[in-house]
Amino acid sequence: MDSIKENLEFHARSLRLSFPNAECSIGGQTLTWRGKLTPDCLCRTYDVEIEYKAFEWPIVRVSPIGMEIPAIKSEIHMFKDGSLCLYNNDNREWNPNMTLAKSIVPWICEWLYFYEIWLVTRKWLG
Amino acid sequence: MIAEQQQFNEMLQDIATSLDISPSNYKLAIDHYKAVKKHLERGLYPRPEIYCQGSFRLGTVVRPFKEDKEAEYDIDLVCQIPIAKESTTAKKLKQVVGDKLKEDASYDNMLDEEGRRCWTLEYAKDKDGIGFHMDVLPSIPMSDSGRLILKGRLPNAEYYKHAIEITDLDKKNQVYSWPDGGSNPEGFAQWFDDVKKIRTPNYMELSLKQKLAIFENTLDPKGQRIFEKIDELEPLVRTPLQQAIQILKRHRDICFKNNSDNKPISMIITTLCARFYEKEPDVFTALINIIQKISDFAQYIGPGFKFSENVRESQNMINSLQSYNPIIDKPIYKLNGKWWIPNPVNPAENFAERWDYEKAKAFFEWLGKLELSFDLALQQKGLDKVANILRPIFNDRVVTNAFIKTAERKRTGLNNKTIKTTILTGILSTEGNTKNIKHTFHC
Repeated sequence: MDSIKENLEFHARSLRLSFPNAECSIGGQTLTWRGKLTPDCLCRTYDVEIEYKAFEWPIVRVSPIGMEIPAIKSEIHMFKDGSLCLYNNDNREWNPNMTLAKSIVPWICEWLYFYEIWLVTRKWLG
Repeated sequence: MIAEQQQFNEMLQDIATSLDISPSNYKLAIDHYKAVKKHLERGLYPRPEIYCQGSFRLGTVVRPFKEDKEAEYDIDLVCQIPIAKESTTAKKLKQVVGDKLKEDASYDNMLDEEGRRCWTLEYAKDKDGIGFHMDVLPSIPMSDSGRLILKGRLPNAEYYKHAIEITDLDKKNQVYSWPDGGSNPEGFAQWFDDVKKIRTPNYMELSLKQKLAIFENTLDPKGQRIFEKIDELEPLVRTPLQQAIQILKRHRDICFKNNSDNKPISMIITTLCARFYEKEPDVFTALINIIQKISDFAQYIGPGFKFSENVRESQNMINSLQSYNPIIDKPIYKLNGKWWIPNPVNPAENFAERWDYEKAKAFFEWLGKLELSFDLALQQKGLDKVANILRPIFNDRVVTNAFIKTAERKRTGLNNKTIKTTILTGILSTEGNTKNIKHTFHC
């Protein structure tokens, strides 16, 4: 139980430090982070939510308001449930010891940027 | 420059590159050019001088846009036979060159109907739909007395030495003539090169960097480099001045597609850009400044003329436009109600010869439209919204290609850690502070 709390605190600390304006809360075994990210000065600002259960894969969602989503969601690296596919689980590209703030969040920024590029080119160039 | 302008500048560079001829197509064009050159040099006596003119020579090539779609690249050649005007006629000169081309069966097949000044060879499209038009311009050197007159107009320059006489065919009456004043494409190109090299910040460094990149990255399907020497790539170097001209030319082609009578000629665009370019280090600032300086002359259209919807006060009001002095040689002036945009290598030649009220008005309005589109694009939040403003003014293919290039550069920057994430906002840029860990978008 302590290790779960410790892991959640570890992530929350770095998220709060890096994004003091975002919401970050721990409820039970789950950390929820809600923040705004703008991947490029000519891009939109997106509402992003990370839901992290200790030692599980973080689930990332982007606010769908006005967003164009293709019928085949994997075209834009999105799971069927609408959450983002940011890394390769099989290759262990992410593990619970990597701070969300410095791994997952930069990857979300990449996803958002290449999503807008997809809107223009219909190609995933990430 | 603010961050938005920096990003937009990169997009404009990518747009200019998408309008341009690719290095491998340039190689193809040069091969065609060398073959025609060899054919004409071997068969004509005295041996002619064959050289490039126009946008290929100036490095301002833009894929033409005709009948609502992109067309073949134009390559313009001069075929200059070193004989005196007295020893030939315009008709004879034109026909000697035409006959020589027709001697070769394949060139004979490729020849278009005789043009007013040129012979045109049409090269079939390749698998990527890229074709070429090659215009061959028969000419002779200008007489010594003709050159002396030109020298008198620009006493401190050597450009007059390259002046030529060309031929003109009045198709209706089938009469050939030598147009007054001849032409001087090579003199103009040397003037342009001088302006470009003197005013581009760190030209040598920029040129070497671009040449190396093209040399190393242009490969054939087997992965072999297609260029043998770095030095042969000088014609592919693009400065902010050249890219500004490329962007203006395409915007003009699209803007005037239904109003071709008022379409500003490329010589006007090229001349004014070179004249007003002042060492701006990037294409965005160069374009904005050039448009701003040209727009100051819009006041001579008449009272009430609004350059664009943006209310802007004139910065460099020129008061003495009425007193024409060819030595002072202003880029644009009005004399006795007539617009003048003098040829920089022959100030008595007026590129705005055909300008009336309508044409002048259309010219300034066109630049106003471009400026307005840039302002609008910079206010957008969403790359797709930026693209939607750029598509109608540069064409779909060009804009999509430009965004692909922009994205590829971002990907490379992220991979080699020159582009990082800015914690707090999420912006991915060279100013970022958190390196993006390697990962793959997987599913």
